[in-house]
Amino acid sequence: MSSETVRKGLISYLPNLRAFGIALCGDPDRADDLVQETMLKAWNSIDSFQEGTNLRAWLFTILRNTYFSECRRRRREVSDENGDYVARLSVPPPQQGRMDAQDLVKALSQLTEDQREALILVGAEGFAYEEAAEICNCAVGTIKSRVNRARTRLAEILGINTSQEFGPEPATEAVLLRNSNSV
Amino acid sequence: MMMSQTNDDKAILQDNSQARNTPELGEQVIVQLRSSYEELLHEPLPDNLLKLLEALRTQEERS
Repeated sequence: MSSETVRKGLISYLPNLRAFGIALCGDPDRADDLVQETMLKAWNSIDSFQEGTNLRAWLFTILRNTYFSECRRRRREVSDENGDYVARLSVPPPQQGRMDAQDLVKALSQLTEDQREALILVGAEGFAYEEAAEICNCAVGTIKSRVNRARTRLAEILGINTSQEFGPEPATEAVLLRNSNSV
Repeated sequence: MMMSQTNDDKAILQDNSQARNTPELGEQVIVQLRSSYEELLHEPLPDNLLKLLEALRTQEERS
């Protein structure tokens, strides 16, 4: 892959990097700074990109590492050990119905950082478990576990459960209940 | 190290078992996640990123 092809690929993945950044940190402005930093880092180190490896995964790794380095720096500057600041930012999304992008970001902010990144990478971006494990620098089994836990937790946050989603809708259920009571 | 792996394995087994019990639940969450994420992907890029993109494209043309 020539450096020209890499550069073109880099530009084409910008929307994905931005979406990942927003979903990861929950703040569009901060995500834009992250994307900008990621793009510049990648652009300036194109020569270190290994031909035959996954460009998208390489870019996501740079963004992810930049984000966590920044988080560590921020934690040193602003102590939020109990997560009070994050808790204030978190507003529960609608319990029923379609969730928009803003609801998604709010819901994701209630997951742990590990779970959030695993779910976005595998569930939303469509990375294979192996690729996500490489991006997050952990074992494949750990990623699988995080995705499963994140999925379950997100379902709780969104108020999704199997009986509500696949059973009768509330109005129908009320009629059925009334009928069964009158028998 | 061994202990940590054993705990990880237990967690995975437990998670897999939960996932098997509620496949529809997992599917439903992923469908909603993808649909909302799609909106994020199609959001217009802000000015600073558009400018960066333009600068990178110009640099690419020159090189």
